[in-house]
Amino acid sequence: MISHYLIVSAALFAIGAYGVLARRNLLIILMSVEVMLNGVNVALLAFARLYGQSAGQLFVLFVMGVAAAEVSVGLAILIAVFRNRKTVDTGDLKSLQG
Amino acid sequence: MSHLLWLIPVLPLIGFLINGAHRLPKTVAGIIGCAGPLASFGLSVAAFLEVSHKGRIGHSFFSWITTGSLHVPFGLSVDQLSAVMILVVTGVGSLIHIYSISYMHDDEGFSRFFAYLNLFMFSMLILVLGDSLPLMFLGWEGVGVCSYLLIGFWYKELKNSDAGIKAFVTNRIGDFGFLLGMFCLWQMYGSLDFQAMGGKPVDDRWAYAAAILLFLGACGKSAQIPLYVWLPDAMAGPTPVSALIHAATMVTAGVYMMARMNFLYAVTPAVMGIVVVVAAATAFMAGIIATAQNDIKKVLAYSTVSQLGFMFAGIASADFRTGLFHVVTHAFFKALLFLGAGAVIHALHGEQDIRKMGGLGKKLPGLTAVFVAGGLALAGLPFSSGFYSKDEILAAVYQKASLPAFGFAWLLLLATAGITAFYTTRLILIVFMDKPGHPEEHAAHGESHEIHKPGILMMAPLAILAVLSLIGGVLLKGPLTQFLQPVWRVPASEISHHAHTVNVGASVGVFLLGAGVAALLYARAGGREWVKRYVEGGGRTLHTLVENKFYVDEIYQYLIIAPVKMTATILWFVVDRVIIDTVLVNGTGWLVYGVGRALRRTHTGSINAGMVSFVAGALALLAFVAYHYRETWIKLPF
Repeated sequence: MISHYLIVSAALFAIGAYGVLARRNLLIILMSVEVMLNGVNVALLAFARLYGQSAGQLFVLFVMGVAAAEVSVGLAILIAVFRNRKTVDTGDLKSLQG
Repeated sequence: MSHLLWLIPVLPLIGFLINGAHRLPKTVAGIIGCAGPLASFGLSVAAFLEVSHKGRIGHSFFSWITTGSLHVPFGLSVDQLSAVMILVVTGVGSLIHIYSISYMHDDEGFSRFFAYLNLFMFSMLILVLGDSLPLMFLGWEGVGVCSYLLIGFWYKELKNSDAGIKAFVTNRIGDFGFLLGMFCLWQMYGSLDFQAMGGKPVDDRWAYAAAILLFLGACGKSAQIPLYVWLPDAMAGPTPVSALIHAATMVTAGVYMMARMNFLYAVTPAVMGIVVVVAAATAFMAGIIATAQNDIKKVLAYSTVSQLGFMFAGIASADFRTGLFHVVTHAFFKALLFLGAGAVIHALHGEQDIRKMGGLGKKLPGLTAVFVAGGLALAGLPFSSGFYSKDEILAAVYQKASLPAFGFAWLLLLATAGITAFYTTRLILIVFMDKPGHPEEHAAHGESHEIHKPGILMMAPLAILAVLSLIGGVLLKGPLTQFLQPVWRVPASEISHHAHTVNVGASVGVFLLGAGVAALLYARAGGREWVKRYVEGGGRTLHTLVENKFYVDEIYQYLIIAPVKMTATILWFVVDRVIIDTVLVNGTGWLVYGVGRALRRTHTGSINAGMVSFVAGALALLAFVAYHYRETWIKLPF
């Protein structure tokens, strides 16, 4: 049964990764990161259940807490970028080019 | 007295500090410059008197070098040998200081000159008074620096500073030998203190190495073959410097050092054979060169090299006192000759070419008298000081003539004694006699150029030295031999009656021969005509060869200096410019720059591209780890 959970987890992670790589809107990229995190969360919960250990569930709570913090910081940066550059499209944000 | 010994070198040092730091009025600067050496002379006389009653006195003032088992105290001592030396150094030195007040009076570097002279006196006195080899070496290097500074005193002319550099660099070769010799002695004795070294047994290999290396040091400082080339060039300095440093005192430091190390040289007879041959060859060669020089100071310079050869021959005979005796008498008459030559040059407004001189005898009778006195002492006029000391050396070498090296050296030295008489007589006749056949020409010449008459400050030292040159030998011969007796760790063999008779006869003979030939050639118009014809005709090649000093400087130029310069150029260009500067230093910069330039293309600034490489990297890492740990893969239960 665990393999089903793991397939869902891998699918979520892959979808998120695809979003991060393929999309050019910063907001969508941030959301995709959240999807990847949740894919990981599913895998953690599945293994915690499999081995009957609560440490995995605890990790998931931490991941959610950290993700919330990360999103708040990420959104703040995003708003700041938008205020400065009037865009959140990664195709236009290339000032780090060498 | 022993705890006051430090005052002897330090008094001139004070003069150096005052005159070196301030530009005082010339009278004050001159008085300060002379006061130090004169006071030192007074103290030296006191030290001499105490030594003659009580023997060696010495005092260790502070610990100078302490490292590992090497312990060198800063100790000064006066024994019979150094007592004689400090009397010569401070006595003759003071006279030359007094003379310099007048000689240098119109020079803008007046106080600088006295500062250097005083610094020289300090270094020379440290050299003589130091009771260990390192301390002697300190003075040895100090006098070298002062010699360099004073040769290049008129540094605005390139030739003068070149001469200073030549002297310094040539001396470095000798100093290197001195240092290595010191290391050998340390290896052998475990001490560098003269008192401590004296009594100990020796290991032959170290003893021979040390004796040879120290002799190399002496060759540099005292201008012996192969390192004598700097001394004739050193005449670029002011004439009192030539008198003080390059005739009377510094150049005899090598002789003093070898006499000080007599306990070493007495047990290395083979080295003595080398020394005597080198010394005699130097004496002979320099004597020959002196016969064809036309610069009054060059004649005296080569004569000094030649006389230094005599001193070393005396040392080599293992009868060390004879070398020392010649050091003392030579200091008198050679200082006198140089100072006299200085007075001549001064009188003729800087003219040094003897071919343009002549007829000075009538115009400057006082100067002529003292110069002739010095010249006769150098030439070896019987009963003058030079006669006695040279005769003693010849007798001491003759004593050992059963050894081939000494027999050969004796013949060379005897010939040199004749040559000395020849070139000295030649010099005196050309400079002071009217040109034979043309007295009126010179009278006219003299009226057009007013002659500078030397003043009392110049004539007084000359007169004192003239008296010493004439009678110093008779007065000192016996007392000096007796006085120095306690210094020698190995007693010298008594000179036999036979050797004495032979050498007195031979000395008188070669003196008469040399002086007679010179008189025949240079005192008469016919003689000078003959010389002129010979030099331009049959003897042309020989004369050119001798006049150009056997081309030794040129040979050194091609054999030593040019290869060294070539090597230096190659090292500079290949190693320094190409390998270090271009490949290593700039190469590193170019490498970093090139790599950065190439990697810069990967910095697109695009977030997506960055993310792609990040994810690709993470996946690659993951794949690698997964593959590496494939044995531990978990088998999932379902």
